[in-house]
Amino acid sequence: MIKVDKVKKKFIKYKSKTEKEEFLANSNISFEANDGEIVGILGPNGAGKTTLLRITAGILEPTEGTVTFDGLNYKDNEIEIKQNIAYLSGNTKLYDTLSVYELLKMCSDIYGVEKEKAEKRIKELTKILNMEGFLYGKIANLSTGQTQRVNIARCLVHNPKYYILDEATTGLDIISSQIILDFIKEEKKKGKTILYSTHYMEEAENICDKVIMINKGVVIKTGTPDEIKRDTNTTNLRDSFFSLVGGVSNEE
Amino acid sequence: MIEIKNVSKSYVKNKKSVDSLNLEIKNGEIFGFLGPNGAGKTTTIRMITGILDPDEGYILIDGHSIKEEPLEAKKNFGFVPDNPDMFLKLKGIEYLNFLAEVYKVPVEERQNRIEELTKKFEIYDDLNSYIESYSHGMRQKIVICGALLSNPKNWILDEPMTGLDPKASFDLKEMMREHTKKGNTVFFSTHVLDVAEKLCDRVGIINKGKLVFVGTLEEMKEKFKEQGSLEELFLEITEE
Amino acid sequence: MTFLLTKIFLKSSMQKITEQNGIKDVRKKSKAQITLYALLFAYLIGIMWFLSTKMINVLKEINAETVFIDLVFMMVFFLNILQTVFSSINLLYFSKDTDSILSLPLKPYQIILARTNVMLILEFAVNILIGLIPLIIYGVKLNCNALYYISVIIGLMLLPILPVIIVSLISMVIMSFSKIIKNKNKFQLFTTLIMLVLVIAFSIGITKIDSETMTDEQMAQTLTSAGSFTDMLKTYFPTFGFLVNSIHSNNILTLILETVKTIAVTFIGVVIYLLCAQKLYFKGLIGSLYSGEKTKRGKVKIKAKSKRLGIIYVFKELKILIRNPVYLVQCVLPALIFPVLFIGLIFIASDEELKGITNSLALMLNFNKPLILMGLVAIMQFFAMFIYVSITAISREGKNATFIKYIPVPLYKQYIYKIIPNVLMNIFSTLIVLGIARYLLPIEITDLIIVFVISILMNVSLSMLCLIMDLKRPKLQWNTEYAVVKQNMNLIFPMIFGTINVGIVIFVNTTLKMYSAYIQLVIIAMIYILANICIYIYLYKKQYELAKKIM
Repeated sequence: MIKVDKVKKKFIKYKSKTEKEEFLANSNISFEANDGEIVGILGPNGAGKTTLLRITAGILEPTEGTVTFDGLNYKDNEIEIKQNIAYLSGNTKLYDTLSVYELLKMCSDIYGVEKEKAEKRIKELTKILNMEGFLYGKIANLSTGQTQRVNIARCLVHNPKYYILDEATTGLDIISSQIILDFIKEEKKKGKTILYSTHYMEEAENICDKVIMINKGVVIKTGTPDEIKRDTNTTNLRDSFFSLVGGVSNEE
Repeated sequence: MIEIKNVSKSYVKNKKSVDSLNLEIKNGEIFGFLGPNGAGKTTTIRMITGILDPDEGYILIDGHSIKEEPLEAKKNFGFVPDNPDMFLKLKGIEYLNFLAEVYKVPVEERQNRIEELTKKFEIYDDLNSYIESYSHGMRQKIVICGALLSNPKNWILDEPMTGLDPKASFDLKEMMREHTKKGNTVFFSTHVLDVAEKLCDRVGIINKGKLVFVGTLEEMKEKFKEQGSLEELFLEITEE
Repeated sequence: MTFLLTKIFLKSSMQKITEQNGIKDVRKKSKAQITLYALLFAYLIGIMWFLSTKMINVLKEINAETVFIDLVFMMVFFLNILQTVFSSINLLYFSKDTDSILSLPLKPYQIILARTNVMLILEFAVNILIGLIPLIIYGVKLNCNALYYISVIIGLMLLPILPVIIVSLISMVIMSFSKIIKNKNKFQLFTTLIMLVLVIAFSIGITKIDSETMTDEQMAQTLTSAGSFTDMLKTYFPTFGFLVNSIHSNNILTLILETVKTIAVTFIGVVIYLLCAQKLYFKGLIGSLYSGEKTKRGKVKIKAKSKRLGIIYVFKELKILIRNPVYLVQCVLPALIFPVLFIGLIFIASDEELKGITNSLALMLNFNKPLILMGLVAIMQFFAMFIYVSITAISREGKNATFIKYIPVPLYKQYIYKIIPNVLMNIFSTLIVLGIARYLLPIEITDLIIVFVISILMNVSLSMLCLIMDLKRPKLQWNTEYAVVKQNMNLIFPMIFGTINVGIVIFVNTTLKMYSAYIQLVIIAMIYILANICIYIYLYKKQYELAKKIM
């Protein structure tokens, strides 16, 4: 279980050469993600989703609050936690002079996975994510959809328990998106804990057990998709979001 | 209006990325171009916008051939590519000023157009910053503003909703509807099917270089006699 | 683990630029590229051979040939520092994989070490290429034994470590002030300017060893005084001293001793580095994830007047060129260094030397004006070889290059707009050179103007040809700007075209020796006016074919 407790992240923004402004990317965020649960982090751009996920992945330190993984925290058990996390960020082509297989092999080595286990795992991931066709091709030559599947595979080579996925399907075509969403649903069945951020409300409705809606760094609603729709008297999450945010997004 | 007549394109010998494509996007309609990755969508859009030359066939934009009368054709469309990472070292306003000059937006109108568009997309306050400092969504928005600056008759957008937050994509869809109500054309490619469902007058589905369907959504449901969602329909059509 | 990481980082920093159409005949291209590269390399070796032999001979006369070794090592040493200064911040802080790396179960020192290793490997490569050759020449000339070569190689490998670490640590200190890293643009510009100053200072230093203007005795004197500078280096920088001494002593025991001493000092240095870096590095690194400034919310300036498209387009090109530190340093800077070198010459050369040069040149001006004027023209073409603006005009656009094809502006006009910055840069350096020439010699203004005009004519054709080459072989798939300007084979072409220009000037001067300067200049002008017209017509007629590779 991932527990996020009263997390606050303050940045200092410089309005001009002398004026400092404190900027809260995340404010008092608390939620829990249980094993076998997909928790969606929804919100518009600039809401603080990426910052929150970076904090859970151990890349940033929160100004206040804690993040625990089954009781372990980053201060005392950083390496142990990171050994058990899959963190997916962005949609860039990294190390694209390598072939897919080489990249997966390399990531296995970094995570210290034994050779035999790594081979098995790579085969498994290739099958699940449908990468047989281009396993030995150079990453530079892949389409966006294929690259994203590779990105997902590369953060899962060590069979982690916690998945932190930041906008996993942004910019993908329907078929690639579907493959990834189906994959995530399968992983949930295996008992993984999944944090999933997106701004496609429909996706969230489709796969998330619980949804955290964030706007301007603050949680505006938590609950299952059904609960949220009921509470806001709407039929889909997109409308729920608008009703909760309403005129706020027009003000500055 | 965009007319694509019998257009084919191969990158590799004996394999056509686009095969004898025939499409007519009429005035006043929002046309959605759908298809899996690698189907030929990007290639088609590149041919429409003059980035690629078709091997066979021709394309007319408001009656002007993109090959024979490139300048006239290009004046008549605004293009939003799928990669908004352009001119990162320019400030937003510098980019817009530049495009205003390129598309010869009348000087009296520039102030209004720029303000109107950028305020609508909520990036007016960021115009003095470098595009490099913009988030993906903001870059998308500035490129859209740039393409719409000269109010071209035809809007060609390659996956425009990617990276746009709900409000911005809502605004963009509204603008598309307004634009076509005035008799203009919007042509866009997308992955997000339910956007296509709610927005497009007609859709075209391309798979493996060939157009497998073109028409309204009702027609599609009728033809393939599927009661499922658009997504399921689409997957079926393209899985063949 | 660290070794693995190093491999990863190395691969991503050497991101090769892939060809657009992977289908093209890769072998054919490589052959041509390899030959060109080999020729260039041979050219460089030739120059090094010439200079080294001269210096060694001069030093031998005064029995100070061992000073040569010190000098080469000093050069390598400063080269290493300069390289690290240029590349450390980019490599350490502005890599694209920062996000992913930070989420991995790695210990901080592993990340730091791997990144530093990448810099070191690049240093090693440079040292071997540039440092080893003069030292081999020395070894051959003076019949040195195997021990010499072994100690040289050990020296070249161990020397860079401490400089790299120190410079990197300074970078980290600077970068851990997150305010600076948030203002990424301004900061990069600032560091670029500092590097500029350093480079100028360095190049002025180099001119002291310029053998063209010195007699053998003077050269010997300069070299030995430079040699005493190396003594200072030996005191303040112990490893330098250890390594150089081991070469001088030519004694295996001393070699082992000095090497062990070096390794010990270096090891201590590395440990201190890792300890400090662990605290400093990550502070600044986090900042880089959010870098990009929002400038003041001032009034938004909408251009209400319509300027001519050409002016706006050229300004856009210039803005993008100048605001990007990598492009500024790699494409524009070299063009400015050489003229500044010239200025430096005036200030550091002693009065008598200066008088001597100017007198002899002034004499020549009377007897053989064509030589001087043509010489000036040739010099300007030499400088033009290092302006990499139009040869990268298309490649720098990267994935956005297709922009030029879908806007309603004729392609040939855009080509001209993209050439103009290159010509402007050259005008700048030309003016400096002419200014200096006027200062030194009583050349008439009219002559200067004629030379200026001809230089521009020649540069226009060079720029146009460079653009054509970039259009024919664009490098559009890159991840870092470095790749476009450093690992780009096309950069040979300005040199080729510049050399051809110089060749034509020499040819005209030799064949038409008997005629007046004006006739020679007019002939050259006519040649290039014709060339420019032809190339322009080519650009106009083939504007679409030329853009075929942009897609």
